[in-house]
Amino acid sequence: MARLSRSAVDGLGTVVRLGLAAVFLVSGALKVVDPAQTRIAVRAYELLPPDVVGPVATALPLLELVLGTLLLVGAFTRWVALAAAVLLVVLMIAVAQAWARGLSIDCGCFGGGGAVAKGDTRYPQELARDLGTWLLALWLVVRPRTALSVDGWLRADPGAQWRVAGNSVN
Amino acid sequence: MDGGERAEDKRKRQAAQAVTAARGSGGGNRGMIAGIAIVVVLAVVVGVGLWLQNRNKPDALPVAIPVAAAGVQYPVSAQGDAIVTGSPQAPTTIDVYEDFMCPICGQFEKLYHPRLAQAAADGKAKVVYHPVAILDQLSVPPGYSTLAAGATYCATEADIFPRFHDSLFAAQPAEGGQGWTTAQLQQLGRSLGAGDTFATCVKAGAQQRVATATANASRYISGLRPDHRFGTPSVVVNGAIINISDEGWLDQALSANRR
Repeated sequence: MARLSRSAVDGLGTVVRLGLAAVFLVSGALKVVDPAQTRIAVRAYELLPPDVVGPVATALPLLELVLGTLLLVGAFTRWVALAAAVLLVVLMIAVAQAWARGLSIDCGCFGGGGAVAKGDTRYPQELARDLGTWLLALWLVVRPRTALSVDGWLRADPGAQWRVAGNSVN
Repeated sequence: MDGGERAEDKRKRQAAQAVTAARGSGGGNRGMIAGIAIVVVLAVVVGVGLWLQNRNKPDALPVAIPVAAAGVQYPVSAQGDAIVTGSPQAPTTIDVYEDFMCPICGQFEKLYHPRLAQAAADGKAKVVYHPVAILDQLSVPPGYSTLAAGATYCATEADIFPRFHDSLFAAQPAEGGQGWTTAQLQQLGRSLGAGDTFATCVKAGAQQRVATATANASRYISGLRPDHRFGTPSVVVNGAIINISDEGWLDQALSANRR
């Protein structure tokens, strides 16, 4: 396999970062515009006590938007990607337990969600998609250096102190 | 080029150099600039997100349930857990299983109710309504499905079923939102000419009756469906479950009469 130059891999990393950002921004936006549906989707997992469903349904889309925004601009890339990866693992566990318990729900990953007819569940596809997204996040955890990022802009700054925050992989 | 213009050029060049120098030596400031910019952007994102989430809070429902216009007239009678409309001798029997909270039932009503009512009025079909409650958890507070289903029994006894039923679907509460209250259902009955018996009946509720009706419907429908599921709306024509996403189902059901 041909060795890719460092800047080529940085560019590839940018594509990964923007892709992951798009996933989180889109999923967050679709949930945030339909809060009632999001509550139904969260409740459908039958995991949380009724009092907790509301706060989670409010916070989850906001968290997705925050992660998506930070990924878009490429700030704290490694830590944001780590948070995204952890969130995705939590969501995959939630979907897997719904599947295992025989609930028939839509994951509501990109808006929608809630109960669906028995034959209309799509657990394998949903999990595969989440796994794919998780791999994107994993890339950025392992190699957070990307082109066109705030991290890069700071890295290029001789006086910057953010290096210690672990943003630079030199 | 005269001296004035040259001096102007020089001044511009110096200014540009100064800016470049400032940028280059700005050093440690970048962290602060980035930090402030990120905080501002995130604040905007979260702020807009919160605004979007609170924008469409289901408004408090109007004080009174809007009364649906009177439609075509057809005979109505209670028969166990079901409400039979149209002539019992009609050649086709259409059983409709509905939850008053179910949005698809609301769409179903919009699409098909006028023709179902007409078929009942013309004696072409016996249309049997089975109010059930499977979405009690989707109203705030929970229980609107049961309350509304129970109230339709009262409305049938008070002889106001058609417009009571139509009003509840025409002004269907949003899924996940506030449902109509007992008092509002009583008021709707009064507007339609029902007396105190109706109000007492709605207040008493029909939890047991609705629960039994729902359990019976669930057993019956899941037995008919290949996937053994029960959902609303479910429609059964002459004992056979119908796929209502196939839009021609009602025409087919009614045209079968002519054979």
